[in-house]
Amino acid sequence: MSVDIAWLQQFGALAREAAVIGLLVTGAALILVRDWRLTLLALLGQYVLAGVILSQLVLPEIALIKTLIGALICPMLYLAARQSGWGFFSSPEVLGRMLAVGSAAQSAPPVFRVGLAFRLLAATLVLVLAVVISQTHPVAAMPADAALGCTWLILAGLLVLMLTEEPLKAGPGLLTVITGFELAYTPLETSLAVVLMWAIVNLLLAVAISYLAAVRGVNTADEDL
Amino acid sequence: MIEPPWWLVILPLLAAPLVYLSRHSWLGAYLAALVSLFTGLLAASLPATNAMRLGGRTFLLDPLTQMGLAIIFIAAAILYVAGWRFRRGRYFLPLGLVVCSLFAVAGMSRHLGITGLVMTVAAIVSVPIIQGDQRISVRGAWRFVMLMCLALPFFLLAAWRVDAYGEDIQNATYLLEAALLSGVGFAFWLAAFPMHGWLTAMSADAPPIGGALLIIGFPMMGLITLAHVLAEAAWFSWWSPAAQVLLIVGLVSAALGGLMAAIQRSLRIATGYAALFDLGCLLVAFAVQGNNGALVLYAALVTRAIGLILIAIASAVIQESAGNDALSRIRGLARQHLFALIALVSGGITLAGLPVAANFPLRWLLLHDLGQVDGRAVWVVALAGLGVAIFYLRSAHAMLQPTLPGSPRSRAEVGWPTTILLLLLTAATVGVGLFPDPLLRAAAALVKLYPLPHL
Repeated sequence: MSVDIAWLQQFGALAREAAVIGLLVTGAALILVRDWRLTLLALLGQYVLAGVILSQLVLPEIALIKTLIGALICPMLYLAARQSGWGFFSSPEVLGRMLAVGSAAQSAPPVFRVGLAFRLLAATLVLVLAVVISQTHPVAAMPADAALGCTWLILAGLLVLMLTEEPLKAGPGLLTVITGFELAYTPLETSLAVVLMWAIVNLLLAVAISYLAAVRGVNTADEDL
Repeated sequence: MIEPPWWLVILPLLAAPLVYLSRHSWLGAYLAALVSLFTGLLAASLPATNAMRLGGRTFLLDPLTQMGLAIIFIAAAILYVAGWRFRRGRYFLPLGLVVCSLFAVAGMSRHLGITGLVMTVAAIVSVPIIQGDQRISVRGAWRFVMLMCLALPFFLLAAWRVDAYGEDIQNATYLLEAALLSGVGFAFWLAAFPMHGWLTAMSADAPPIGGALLIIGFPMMGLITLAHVLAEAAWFSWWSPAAQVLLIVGLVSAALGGLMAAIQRSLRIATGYAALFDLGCLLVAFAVQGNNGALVLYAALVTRAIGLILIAIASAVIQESAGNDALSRIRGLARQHLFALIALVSGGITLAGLPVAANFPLRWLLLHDLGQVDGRAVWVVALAGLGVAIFYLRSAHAMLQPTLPGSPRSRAEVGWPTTILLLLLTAATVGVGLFPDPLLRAAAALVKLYPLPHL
């Protein structure tokens, strides 16, 4: 029996470590990738991985609620993105008009104001910073690998917020900061009122980002053509 | 039975759907104003109640929160009536009610974490008000919601450290950490330098009427929460550099606001900086807390609201007429909108704290107290106030210039309710400026009911 428990604990630790590695990948994707579809896919993966980590730190029901909220947020942002320009920029007619006035790449909305090399360097530095912070300032009631995950999410999200103000790109950045903080805070405060309020904040924030993306998207499309 | 203070939350929430359905006609604006005015009067007149429990948390309607909520609800009622003819976005009326209702919850909450969460929800709900159906830029709304969300973790962590201290009273380091964390959170909420980005960006992008409600409401709730922390949780004032930090941050905010306001070329952007200057002065009043610190602070909550409402309504009239609020575009508008010109200048000098305006006696008391701490700081505040006044005098000068030939004009329909409100508010600011005793007596009574500790 004790062997089984030890095996389960080992498996749990392995799953948690794998989830942290996954968070490193999804956070990096948010910083490096321009495409909104991949960004939203990374965000969805991030919520699932954060749920895996949380399930080992708090009651599985709470972890499930948070994962489900993330799973609700991503379709909302997807629909807003569709409405605000994906369909617009991918339609053959519009692409043809874009090519007529210049290259499609030049006409595309400026998601990031800096190049890929700069973002790669910044992401590397932030990763080093996250490792240093998680080792020097351990998070209360949290294993070291999970602490690295939540520190990385907060810093990566902040970096995205510094790099862009486009709601569809910066919005996932802000949601990433909040996810990282929730990862650290949920084990400390598990009262139902706070869990409920967090859910409301997350869902309303997704609605606000979708609203701004819809407004901004229509605008950008008009400006660029 | 529902405890009476909860009606401050329930009434606006119940009215919001009805107001949304009738938002296109005058009925929606007047219904929203009526509910808001009634709720404001209710907030002011409710007797002292015991603490209430909801979801395991404590809520209490104290005298300071009562006064703050009364000011916000009455200011909202004035803005609903005065602004219904102008472009303010389809969600302004219903969401304005919802935001005020959330302010009531946040003001009554006695748990810093719950207050933080509710204020964050209020900030997110405010996004369509800031955007106001405009398709020009989303920067103001985005910066506001982003910075308000970034403030939340600091309040939650501060609340966690306070709870930890409750379980381990021997460990006073928890309180130092709580003070530091909540200090950063308050810097976001109060738009204190260097976290002032949301105030100026929102003011630049939001329609004047909707923006005014938020510029009045959010910092006021921040100040009330800070007062709660100072008065009811003595640990904040144990942090020895608290007064010094508040003083420096307040002075820098006031100086930056005054300097930047003086050189602006647009009414809405300048309003953001003028509001920043005024907030800086309130932070200085918090920090100095001389003989008149709390008195100045409580009375200034009223005069600040009057000044911002005057500027907002005048800016809305001017923008509607000129199609833009740049100083270069408002030439010659004085003839068409004389009352707007008077209101704009009155509001401007109210925020600046110049003689004859409502803020002057309070600014005088503040400078007197500040002079006993640091004489040079008096000059900083006085010169920054002059910067704010310079902008509004420049605006008046521009409006009095002859119209440039060929400049487009649409004659904005102001309406007699808006004109009457502008006149009443202008008379109020001049009246308080000349005869400040009634306001100071009311503020002194509030100081007795809800005193602030010296830092």
